[in-house]
Amino acid sequence: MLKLAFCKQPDLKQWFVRNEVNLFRYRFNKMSSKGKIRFFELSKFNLESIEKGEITGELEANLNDCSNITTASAKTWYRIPWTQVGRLVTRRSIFIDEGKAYVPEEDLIEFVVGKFRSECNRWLAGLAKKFDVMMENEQERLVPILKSFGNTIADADFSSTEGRLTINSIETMRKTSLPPCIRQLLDALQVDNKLKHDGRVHLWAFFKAAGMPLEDALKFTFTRMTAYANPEKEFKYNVRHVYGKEGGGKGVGAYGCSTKIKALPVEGQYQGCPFKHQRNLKQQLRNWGVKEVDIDKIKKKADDGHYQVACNQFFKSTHKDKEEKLDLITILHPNNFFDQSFDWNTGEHKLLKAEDTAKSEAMETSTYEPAWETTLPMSQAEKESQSQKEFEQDDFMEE
Amino acid sequence: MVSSNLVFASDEIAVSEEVLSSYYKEYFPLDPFIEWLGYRNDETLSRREFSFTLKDDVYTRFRSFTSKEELHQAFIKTKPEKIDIGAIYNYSCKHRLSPDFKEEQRELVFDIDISDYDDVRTCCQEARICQKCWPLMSICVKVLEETLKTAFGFEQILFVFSGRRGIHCWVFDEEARKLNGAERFALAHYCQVTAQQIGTSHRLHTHIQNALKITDLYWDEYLETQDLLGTEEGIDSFLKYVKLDDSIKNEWKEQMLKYDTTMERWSIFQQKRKEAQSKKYRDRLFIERIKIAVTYPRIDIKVTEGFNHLLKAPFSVHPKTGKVCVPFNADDVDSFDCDNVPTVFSLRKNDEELVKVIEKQEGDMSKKYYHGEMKESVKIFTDLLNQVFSE
Repeated sequence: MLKLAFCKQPDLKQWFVRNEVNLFRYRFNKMSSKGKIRFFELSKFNLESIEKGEITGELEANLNDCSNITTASAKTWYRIPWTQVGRLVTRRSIFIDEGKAYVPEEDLIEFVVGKFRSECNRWLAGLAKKFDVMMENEQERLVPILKSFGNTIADADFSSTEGRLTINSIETMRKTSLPPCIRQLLDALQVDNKLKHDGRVHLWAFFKAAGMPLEDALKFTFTRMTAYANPEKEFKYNVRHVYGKEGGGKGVGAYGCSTKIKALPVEGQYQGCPFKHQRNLKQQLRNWGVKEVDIDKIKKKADDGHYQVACNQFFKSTHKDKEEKLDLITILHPNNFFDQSFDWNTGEHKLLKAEDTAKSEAMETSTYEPAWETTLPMSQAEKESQSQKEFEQDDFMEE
Repeated sequence: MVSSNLVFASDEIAVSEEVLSSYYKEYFPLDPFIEWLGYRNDETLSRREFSFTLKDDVYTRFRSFTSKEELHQAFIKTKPEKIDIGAIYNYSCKHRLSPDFKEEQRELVFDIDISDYDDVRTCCQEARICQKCWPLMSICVKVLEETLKTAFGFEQILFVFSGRRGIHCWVFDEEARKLNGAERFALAHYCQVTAQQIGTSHRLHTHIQNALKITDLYWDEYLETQDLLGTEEGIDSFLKYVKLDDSIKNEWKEQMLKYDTTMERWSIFQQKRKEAQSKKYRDRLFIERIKIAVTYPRIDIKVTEGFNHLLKAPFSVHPKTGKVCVPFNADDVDSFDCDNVPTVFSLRKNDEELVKVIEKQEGDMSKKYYHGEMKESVKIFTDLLNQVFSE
């Protein structure tokens, strides 16, 4: 049923596959080693194992340098094409030679999970193809049910009202209402007068969703990205493209927390989530004027991997009044941070306006139910622009 | 046309349509180029994406051609300032809006720009590149070649000067062309080592060890010519990669400031490294971390990751320098002189001489690109193609 509901939309599909894979991984890990051996026998993977005698000298040194498992403790090593253990290659935690990865038995789970993931994707791709035909006679019965599944997972759209952010207000907003990930980009832009491609797109997409008019976004780009010889010529098209005025016309949706957390910014890139990627988070927070007591709290959350909780703490620390109500705020998206902050500072936030009854508070908390353990679903706009990443990449496989 | 020699900035030259047109007509190695893009099959060729950048930065994506003649006509008619090559799709690009239109094959590609190294070079900034910072590109070529060949087992690798500020690398192997998105993602991340990934005392991955061996071939000379530790900021930029308390780092810094030259200051790092080995300091890999931070190839990961990412075609002309994007031999990368590559202007200048040479030639060999300035790079390209087709 879920397979049917999710097979048509890439991000729902991705969510489904991720959870199926997690479940599979959990089950596999629960199996006894006997069970695993039986599983391998039944699955007929025909893995090429390496003779113990072969593992000496240079090869032994290489295996020890590259794997998390030492040759002394590993049971058996297998030689597998590197393409079948993508995760291990991405993490650079195996030795690869001549296209073959040397995988210790302990890491074989990655190979099995990889197989399972591509199987999952294949089922879904197959279903998606047949979907329209299957649903022909189900317009009244199944289709509404399927639609309702989709809605509970991804219903968020975080666009603000047009004109909420403008070129004139951005400098004030920067200190009061812009989310840390965007402030980080603006800080870098101020120092370098330039941003790398990803950073620029993240910024423009945020502007668009924050309601900044196109003219303002263009003006901002031309006057602030001055390290380029001719920003007008170089970026006019790109900004217009983000705003949906060039190309396909859809434009780029604002990037959400999950994208930013998953991003892998390299030296000189700032498009990530500061709570995950900022190496000197404490100093950064100090520069942004966060109180010393709060800095430790935020840092702790960030260190524990609760990046969005850390962002919430940041919001709490940088906003005033009605602390008991600030506690109820949950940030779902960079643009959601901006909106809530804007509303809060203008006294328009629904938590401020709501009657002080237990009922309304209960309602607010339930609408903003946090989902820290899983990554948050992406907004509607984001879905359209989400670049193909890890899980989704399996879509290319054997469809 | 006078405008063809008009100089905009120190290294920017306007390439006129007329000059471009004559380059495409006479010097562009169309035969081997087409042979490559369709892998000797016109049907495959018709599914390959071309993108032209026309006058005034007009991009036109998803062009496709069914034959050599058609491409030749398009070159002459539209005189593209820039030619990009995309993937081979399952259908001709005319059907790109079809729901199951998708990538089928694509060379594995790498793109490295020298402008990403501005923090570790003092000779030039931005798009400028010179013999003093070229060693960074040499390291890239050698690290990539070593990784692609020994680890991933690829053999058909082409390195191309990108015409202005960097290099491109194309892997033609069939296995490489057929990698899917997830596999490209994995490979790209395997090839992206950052300083943060170097811990304080663990064993280094073979790939990192190999990269460091290559770096060591250039390190001392690079450090000295760039004078990277010549200033206090320079020292700070290195100390940033040392994972020790500030008090210790300040102590080191004071010791370094007693000396004047980069090499003397670097020897303090080396001395500290020896002391670290005897467990005096917790961080025992700072030398390695610094070397990785400064010299490890800074690949544009999006290009390698993407199945359908466009990359400038070999032998196209850089619109701002007039330089031809020539392939070069990885073994000769150290002596590659990016200021001495064929340009549309130099080709024109030497045209008369070349005409005399080809008058004596027959058949294919009467093509201008097999002689003169283009000869060497075209040979590197055709040799690689022969290797591809001999399998």
